[in-house]
Amino acid sequence: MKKVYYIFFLLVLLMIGLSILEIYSFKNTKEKIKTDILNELVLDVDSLAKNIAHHLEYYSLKKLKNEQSLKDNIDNYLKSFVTNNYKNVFIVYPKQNTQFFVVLADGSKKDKFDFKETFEPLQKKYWEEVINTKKPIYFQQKIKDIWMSFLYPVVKNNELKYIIVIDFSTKPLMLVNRNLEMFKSNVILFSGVIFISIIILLVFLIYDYTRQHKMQHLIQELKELNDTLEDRVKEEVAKNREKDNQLVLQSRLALMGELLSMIAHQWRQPLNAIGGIISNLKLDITFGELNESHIKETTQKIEKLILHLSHTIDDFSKFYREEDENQFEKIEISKIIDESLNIIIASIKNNNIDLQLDIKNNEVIYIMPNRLKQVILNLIKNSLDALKEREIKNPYIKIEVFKNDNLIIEIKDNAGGIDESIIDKVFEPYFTTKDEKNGTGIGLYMSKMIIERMGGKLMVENDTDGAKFSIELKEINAN
Amino acid sequence: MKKIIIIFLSIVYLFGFNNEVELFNTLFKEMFNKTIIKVYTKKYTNLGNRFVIVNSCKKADIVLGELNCSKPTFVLDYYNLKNNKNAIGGFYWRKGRPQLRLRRINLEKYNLYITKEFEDYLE
Repeated sequence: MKKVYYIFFLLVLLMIGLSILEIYSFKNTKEKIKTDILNELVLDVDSLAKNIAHHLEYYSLKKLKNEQSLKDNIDNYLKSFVTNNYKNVFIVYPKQNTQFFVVLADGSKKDKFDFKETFEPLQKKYWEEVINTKKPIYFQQKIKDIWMSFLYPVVKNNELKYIIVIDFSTKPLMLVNRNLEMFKSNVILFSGVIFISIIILLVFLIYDYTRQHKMQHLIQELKELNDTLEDRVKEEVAKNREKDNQLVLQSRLALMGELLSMIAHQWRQPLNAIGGIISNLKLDITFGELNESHIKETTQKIEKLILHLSHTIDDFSKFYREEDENQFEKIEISKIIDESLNIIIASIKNNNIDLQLDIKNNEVIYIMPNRLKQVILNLIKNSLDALKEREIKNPYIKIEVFKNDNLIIEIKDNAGGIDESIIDKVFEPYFTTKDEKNGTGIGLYMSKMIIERMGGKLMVENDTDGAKFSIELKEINAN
Repeated sequence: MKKIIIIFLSIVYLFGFNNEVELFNTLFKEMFNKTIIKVYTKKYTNLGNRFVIVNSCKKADIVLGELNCSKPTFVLDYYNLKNNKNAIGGFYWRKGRPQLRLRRINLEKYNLYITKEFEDYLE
């Protein structure tokens, strides 16, 4: 950043330097132009004086001094040179031992000298110089006057005869000077504008550079933030997933609590059966009717019942087992439904609910089995609760599996359905129509989440008799 | 606006005459061995402390300008200097150059004296 300021000040100094150089150069040029123009003017006047001298060289000084008629002729001759630029053209010679000069001829139109009139010049030092050096000289009559005097000495045999005096105008010089001054003003104005423009441009460039620098800095910060943001998002997603997993577990545990009571019902019948068999066995022993074939038959019955109990426990423990998030496996849909129903079937039967199962397509699908079982059990449990609560006559739960574009599992009942005003909210977390004891409000929310995580959809609608939940699973996952 | 121009021109005019008045003052003071010098002139109204402007030829010690009077006259024009027999000198402008001339014969005739600094202008 400091570097930019150094460059800025360097440029400003350079501009100031150039301006000074420009002023100096202008001054020199101006002087040169003035000198050249003055030299040209003087050259003209000198030529004129020489012409006059050449014309007068036929006349002797004595004749010039004494013949007035000659003066009139010469006056007329000199008069022909008088213009706007040559105001006075006259001839004088120095009067001995005085500061005066005597006029020999005068071509002026106005204020004309008399013949032999004495004349006292201004700026006598120049006149004395002409007399002494016998060389032409020019000088300004007054300071800032446009008129200059040119003194041309006519010398013969190294003796000054007379001096031709021409008052000439330096108006061209003055005009050039005036125009140069105007030009100077314009140049100064132009330079000023350029200077200010460059300063403004430099300020703008510095501002732009600073802005870009800041912007780059911000972009860098943003990039760093983005880099870390990705990690943070990943971290938050992982946290959320962990939380979801916790919720899934929580909901499964809640479901398990309910399922345990169902398993207790499911066990009662085989346990009662085992108890009955054992009582019969005891009676047979008492009455001595026990024989080998009877024992064999009885033990086979008990083994069968124990196996049934064992299956129930296996299914339950299988369901209870936690599985990895990505633990997908290929499995027939009928197996999932069978294992789910094994857990809950006793409760369905105990409540005299008619279970209608219609598996039209037994497809092999690629899913997380326990999670799907959790969803199916949750939906059947909800139907069961609704049928019990509303004390529906001839209750039924229908499970239908068929294939559309995808595989559809429909679970519907005849409990009267869900109120249309709340049907859109049933998948929202912590929304429940049950009392605190029976519902947490996370069952359906978790079910929807589980199905969506497997790439499927969970939908609800009211059918003719009651609610209908549809699980749509994409078969593509099976590949 | 008109008044301002008139005042301005008057000042310029007065300043233009100042040098001439000073010249007359210096010159005339030495010419007359008198405390008060009476000047007959139509052109000037004030020439300084020792000068009194008079309006008749009779009362005058000197005439300044082109007036018909047989007293010593200091003219303000070349041709009057040339033609006036009473002229003791003159001050006039020729081609933008001031000219001062003193006529020795008339100065002597009227017994008038000049200081050394004016001797160069005698003819």
